Amino acid sequence: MLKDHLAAVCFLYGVGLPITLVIVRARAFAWFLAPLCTGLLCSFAAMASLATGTALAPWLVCAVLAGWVAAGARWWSARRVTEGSESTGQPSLWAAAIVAVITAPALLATRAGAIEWDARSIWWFKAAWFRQGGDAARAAMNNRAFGFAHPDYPPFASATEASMWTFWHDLDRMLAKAVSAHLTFAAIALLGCLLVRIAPIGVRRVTATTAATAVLAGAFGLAMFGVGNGNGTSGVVDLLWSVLLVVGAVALLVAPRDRDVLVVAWVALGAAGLTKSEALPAILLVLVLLALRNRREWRHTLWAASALLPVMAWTLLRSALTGASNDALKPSGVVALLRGDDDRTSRVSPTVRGLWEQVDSTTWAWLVVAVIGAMLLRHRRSAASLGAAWVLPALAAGIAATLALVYISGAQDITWWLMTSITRTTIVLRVLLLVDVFLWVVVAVAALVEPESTEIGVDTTP
Amino acid sequence: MSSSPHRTTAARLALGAAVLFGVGTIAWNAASGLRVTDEYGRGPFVLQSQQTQQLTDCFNTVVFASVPKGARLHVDTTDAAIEQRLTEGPYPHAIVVAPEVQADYVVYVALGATEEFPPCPGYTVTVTPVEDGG
Repeated sequence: MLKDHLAAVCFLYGVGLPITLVIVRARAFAWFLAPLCTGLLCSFAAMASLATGTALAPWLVCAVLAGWVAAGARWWSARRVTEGSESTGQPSLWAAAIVAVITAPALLATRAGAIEWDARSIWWFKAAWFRQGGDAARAAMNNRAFGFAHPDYPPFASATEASMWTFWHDLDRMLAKAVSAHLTFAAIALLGCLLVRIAPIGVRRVTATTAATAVLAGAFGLAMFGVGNGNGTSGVVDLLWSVLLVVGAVALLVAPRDRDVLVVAWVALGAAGLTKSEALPAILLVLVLLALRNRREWRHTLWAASALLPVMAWTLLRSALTGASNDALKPSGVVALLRGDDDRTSRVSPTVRGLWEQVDSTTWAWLVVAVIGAMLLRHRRSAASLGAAWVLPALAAGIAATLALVYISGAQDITWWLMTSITRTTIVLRVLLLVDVFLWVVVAVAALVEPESTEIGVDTTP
Repeated sequence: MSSSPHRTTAARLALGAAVLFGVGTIAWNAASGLRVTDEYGRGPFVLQSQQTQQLTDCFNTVVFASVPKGARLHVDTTDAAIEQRLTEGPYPHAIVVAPEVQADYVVYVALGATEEFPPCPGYTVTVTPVEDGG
């Protein structure tokens, strides 16, 4: 098992790090962006293999080399400009290490057997298709007998696992589980570093370093695995896409804007869209909120929207080659719901009840903290350049409404559907609410330790 | 904006409470993140050569069994309907991990709780290693 983890770490960080060290200035971000960047390269290779019906390995080598060459060219051209410059306000490597060390024990759960049903029947099954080459993958995706494997689901996790299998222990599911867990770990650690980056400066002065915030962010990372309830370490991708989506949302809607944060947002949203279909409507909601927040800075919105290009490429490829389509949202079901048909309206009550049962305790906890914060700290949070306090809850509400619409308008038996999926689809809601709790906590600590200070935010916009 | 000392003290107390409650919420979830057992309390490190397990949830029951490399498994249940579902259902309900995997063999038993096959707490599933050719 240790061998699997070492192989996964070497692959995920070894491929991506030469690129991320160039595209972001903060080393902390570079470390945890690296596995996600590797995953994107593997996804591009798998899509090229699928499009051409050829083997995966040559495309993988081409994608990695192209990434390295492009990064090298950028480093060479930007060398004179950035030489000696250090970005301020970014999380240090020490802070990143604290976050990672506190979060890492959650990975112990990967020692369990490779038994998760969805991991085996969807993600690793599809990884085996990609591993066998584009022609085999295309045939499998068109095979109706494999409908249970959801051929329409995007390739991020499966392509990364297939790439790992290309180099090491073909079809080893424990290895695939390690790859999946380290992708999730990187996304969570990235979120932790982002939270350290945006924490008000008043908290940092408590210890003169970012250590206190990093410890809280590390506990927050561990809490993400708790929210995932096993989903982060069993081979399924629901915690992965949820955290990636929240990384993108925090970077675009909450964090003070700088180049690193925009790169983090792009990679996170691009990877989220390529990880699971549910991420797409959530990304669109993030972009709508971003457009509302930055009516005049439309270029930032356009830049963020370009993160949808990879998932659009996957959607076009999937439709063109296989005819597989998203089986969740049925327009006819939405029309029937608007008409008030009984078979749709009867699904409203169990859906709402099912959603609430998953998020009730987190929502009550968030409500207590947010109400106190809104009463006493609203202006201080705005002054800390942490965005409007309503943004993350509004995003959570929008995602919850979208989820409800999908469940109510869908074709599957509602009892079975809720029972088999609601614990996973609501992870993103709990992550969003806990991020908001984290932000209120650090603003409150800043207010307690420096009640008269107005300098509680850092803006390093270049 | 001026405020009375009482009001300031009350505000600080409220902020302190919010911090404690928020940190407590994060710590509570972090404790869950450290849990390495599954939802039924089974740890990942306990594997047995034969196991009879009482089902608590027919939909998502996991039975661990360690068997010699290359051996086949015999899965038996106390109810014929369940046994049939194991082999003939819409999903391949019993999965054995590949022989080359170093981890011990695992049988995954997932039984759909439908009208025809209602939840079945109280039934048992026995997993027994069978020698090759046996």
